[in-house]
Amino acid sequence: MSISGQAHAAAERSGVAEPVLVRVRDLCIEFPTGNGSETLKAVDGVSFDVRAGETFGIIGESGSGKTTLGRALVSLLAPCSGSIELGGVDLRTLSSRRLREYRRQFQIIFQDPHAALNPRQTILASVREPLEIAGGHSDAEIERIALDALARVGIAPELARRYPHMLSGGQKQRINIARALTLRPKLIVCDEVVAALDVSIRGDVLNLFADLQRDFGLTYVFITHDLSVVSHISDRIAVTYLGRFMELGPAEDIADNPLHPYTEALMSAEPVPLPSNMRDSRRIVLEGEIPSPIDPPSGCRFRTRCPHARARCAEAVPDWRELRPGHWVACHFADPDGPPGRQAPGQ
Amino acid sequence: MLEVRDLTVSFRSGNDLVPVTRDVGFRIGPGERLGVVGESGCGKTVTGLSILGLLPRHTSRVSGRILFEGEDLVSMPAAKLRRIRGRRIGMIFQEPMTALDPVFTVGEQIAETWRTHFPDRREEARERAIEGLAKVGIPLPDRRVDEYPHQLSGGMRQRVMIAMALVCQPSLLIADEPTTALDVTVQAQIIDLLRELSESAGTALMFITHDLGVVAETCTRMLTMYAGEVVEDAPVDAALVRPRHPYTSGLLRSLPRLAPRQGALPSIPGRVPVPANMPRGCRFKERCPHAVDACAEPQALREIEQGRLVRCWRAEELELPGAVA
Repeated sequence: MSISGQAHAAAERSGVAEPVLVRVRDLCIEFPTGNGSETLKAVDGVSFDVRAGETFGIIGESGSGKTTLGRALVSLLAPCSGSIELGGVDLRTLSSRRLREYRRQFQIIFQDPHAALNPRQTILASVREPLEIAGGHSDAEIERIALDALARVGIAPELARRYPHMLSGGQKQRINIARALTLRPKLIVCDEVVAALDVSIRGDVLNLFADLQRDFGLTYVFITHDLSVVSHISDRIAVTYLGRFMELGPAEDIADNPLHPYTEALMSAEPVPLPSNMRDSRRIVLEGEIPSPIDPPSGCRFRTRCPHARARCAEAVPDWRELRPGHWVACHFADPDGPPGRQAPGQ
Repeated sequence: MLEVRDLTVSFRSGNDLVPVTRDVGFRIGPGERLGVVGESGCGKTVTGLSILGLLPRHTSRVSGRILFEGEDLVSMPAAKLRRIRGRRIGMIFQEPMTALDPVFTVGEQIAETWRTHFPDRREEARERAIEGLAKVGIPLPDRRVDEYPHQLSGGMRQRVMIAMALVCQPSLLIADEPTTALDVTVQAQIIDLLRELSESAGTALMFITHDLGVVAETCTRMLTMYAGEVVEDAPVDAALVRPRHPYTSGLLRSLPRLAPRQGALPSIPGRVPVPANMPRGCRFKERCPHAVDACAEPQALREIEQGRLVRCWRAEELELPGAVA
């Protein structure tokens, strides 16, 4: 993903940003609760742009709304309010028939590589299926495109006639990637795509994503709870908490110089495989767990666990402020140097 | 305190017995915290279950010795083992919701463990349950004790599991991926709790996980398993700085955190051999960048320096990168 990163840097220097591929504004997605008496706001007022060719990481804990957001991006879920524009087209303006065609350019890959494949179909049949549904290709063309896609993700043709249970988790995830590629998408939403894979093969699959991005000019929205994965591959990262963005900025800044106390705590909570004398001892351990999205806290949603919360945090929802160029945060007390409560250098 | 010797666990597959671990051996001293790491299928969970005598008797066979405080658990009659399990060896599993019974309050479940092992002190059970909940940092323990598992969050349930495992003050706690189902901020709380409890009560810990970061922050020693065998046994910091087995090194180098940002990630090519078709020699040979012909010979777990064991005949000559470049 270094290529796209460099492209952005070059584009920013020359004053020409990459075109926006995804534009999300004030997106809200609600679900009724079991008995229908309450609503759960899984995503509550989120706005962001994803530029063509970049990897946009979304991190958050369970219940933060990150998966719901990803599903909405590929129109598997309809927003309750707000808008999603893909490639300049507002999805609300499309008829359901047009939407079905249009959204082929926007694919999603899920967490569990096994569950995503039909156990009764051969690998080849699974990879062919999207093309058959899309129509417009002869049988021989479909076969060729499917085998090409499998070859591209490193699956040998002799595996194509096998069934999913005969393959490893890493191979199955490659097949899911191949299947998403056949329709030549512009955007792929990757929802926890390496979470089910062992560490030793995770790198291979992540490298494949990077290669494909370079070769096909793909844009990724990479949803994960794994901080080391997201900060490794993303150009920009958004941090979600209880259905809202807490922070959005360049990947290096989010990982190394975050502005929001939640991001800071999240990064410091990640266990680091370093010997004891090289670990940062100033771990911030948050109290408690993420509150219920049915009845989120007033004002700032993070305030119930925030070590720096003050009265104002309960009274007012923090503004979404751009404190550094391209680096946004929703915290009353953050300033361009960092989150509240930090120690001055040297202390 | 615990000494495992030549532990081989086999599962029945049709008419055959297929070994899934081979000659696993290690020791855990009092108060020591041993991290057992490896990828899915390496035999780490099976090893933990075999110590507890929890493998199904009809479909598995355990050979070798598991000496706990001088007694062999493998040959021990089931009734006697039941008096040790839960009393002197506690256990915690990955999924706190499936490990708790949904129709009993958490207090009843903790009290049950106590009553089973201290039948003559039954009347203390509730008090012990409340005390246990307080010890694992559950607020308002005298109220929480009467709640059902579904009323608690994932992190709170795992605290209840820990309270249940520790209520009889065991000398060894076996924890199998206890934080894997939890969010990272909650995981940090549970790791700190386990380490503090182990330090304050002197409870030894066998921590089974695939997460090397968790081991680095929790344990004193690290046992790396691959394809059913122990390949390396070393103090945690030493293993992280200078791993002596190519597999340990490969695992560490595959962690995204340690790679230059946005560069290609190292990984280990190939796949783990299947249990029914294990190579005779080094089981990592096919995936090892340092393999030579002689690796086709069986490898012994050798002590190469005080407290460091490795199953690789080339260990002394190889300079392997660790977590610190």
